[in-house]
Amino acid sequence: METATTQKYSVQLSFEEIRLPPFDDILILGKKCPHGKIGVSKSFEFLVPNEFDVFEIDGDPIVDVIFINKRILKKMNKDTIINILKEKVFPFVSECEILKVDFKLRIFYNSIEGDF
Amino acid sequence: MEIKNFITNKYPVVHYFSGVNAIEDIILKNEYTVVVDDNNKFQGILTSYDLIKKPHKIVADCLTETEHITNNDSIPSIIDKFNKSHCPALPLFSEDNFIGILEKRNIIDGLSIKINELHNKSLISERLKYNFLSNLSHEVRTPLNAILGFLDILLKLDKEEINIDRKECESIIKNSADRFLLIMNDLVDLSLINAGHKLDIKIKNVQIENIFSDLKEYFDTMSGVLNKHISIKYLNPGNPNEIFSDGEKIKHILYHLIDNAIKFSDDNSNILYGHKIKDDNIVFYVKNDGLPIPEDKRVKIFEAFERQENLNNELIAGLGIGLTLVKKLSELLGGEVNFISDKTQTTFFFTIPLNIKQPVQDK
Repeated sequence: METATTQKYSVQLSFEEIRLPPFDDILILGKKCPHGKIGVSKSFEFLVPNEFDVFEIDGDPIVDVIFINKRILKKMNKDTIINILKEKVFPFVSECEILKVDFKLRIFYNSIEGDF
Repeated sequence: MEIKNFITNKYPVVHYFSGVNAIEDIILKNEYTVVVDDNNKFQGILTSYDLIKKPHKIVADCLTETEHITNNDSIPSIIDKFNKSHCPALPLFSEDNFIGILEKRNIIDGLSIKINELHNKSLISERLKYNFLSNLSHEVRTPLNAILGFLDILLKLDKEEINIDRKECESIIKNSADRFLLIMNDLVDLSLINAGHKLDIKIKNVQIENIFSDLKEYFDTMSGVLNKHISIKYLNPGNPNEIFSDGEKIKHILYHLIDNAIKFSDDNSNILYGHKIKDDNIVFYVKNDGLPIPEDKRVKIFEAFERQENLNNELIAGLGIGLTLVKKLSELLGGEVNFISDKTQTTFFFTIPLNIKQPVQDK
């Protein structure tokens, strides 16, 4: 006795907008992540030309380079940023990983005084 | 060993921005690949070591710093660079320009061949040294024995009645002493030439007839002590009978060529020497009847300590430096030496330029 079979499919569908590159502020590359400094720099040249600066991290066993948005560098010098990252982020980076960092910088003054 | 002999321009090439997954097979097959940019300019060498150390997606990111070889590097420093770099091939640069690739395996193969050559040469040198010393003692003892023997006879002549010609004895003693001196002079000359010193040459007007007759007289006297009969003749020099050169050196060269011809001549055969003009050169020749020079010996015939064998495979007497000196002296006089050898005759000849006005520089 023959049994009839039918094929069905089910798709779960959703969509949302993304932007390239999929981050705004800082990108950290591990030493053995799939994408190296030159490859990422090259893709940034095409996607967001002249928006990021790249810094090699000497002496760190895990982190190879970091990309920092020039918009942030306008407000804070690179050494300060790198020192913050070294203390707060680098301990969580693994060698084969690329990490994006949201770095929302707000500058405020306690009081601004002057003569009328 | 020169570096240039090991440069290869046939090597695998990949583009700087190639994906690593696309070039893995090239690395596995060749152990390395050269990386170039859009303008085919050398960017580096990629090896499996690089792919493990920097496992990124594109070639450019995987490149590590490698050693460069320059024209000034010696073989030991090249080997040292290979060992430090973990790289089976290194680039050669000359004043920042990429020249080519040196592969480690080629250098190792070349060194291996060189070591074998040197080993074989050392064995040959050992044999030559042994032969030379034993020949030297023989060659020196022969004229010394003649001198001492005939001096004894001369001393006895006054005491006993011996039926021998005094003048002949004196002549043999004189020639043996000359031969002894010649052997010593040859050794000194050869060691000076090998040490890079210049031999003095005295250019002046030379009567060719005088050279030929002196040699004839010498060899006629010595024929008494030979164990074979050989007729030694020269063709009367025509024009020019006078040349501007070093007569002693010409006589020295001819002496060795005639002495050599005697050694390789059959019994009851002839030796003829003379000269003729060819173009701007005067050509001196010595022709003898006898066995041809074997093909395999011809290349090395002017090398020091090379000696030939006779019909019975016995080495011919001599130090093996005569033809070496002949070559050096001919060059010293601005000429060259060569030979023609067929089934029954061998002719050695050397040339001297006719238009020499100044001493020729040592080569």
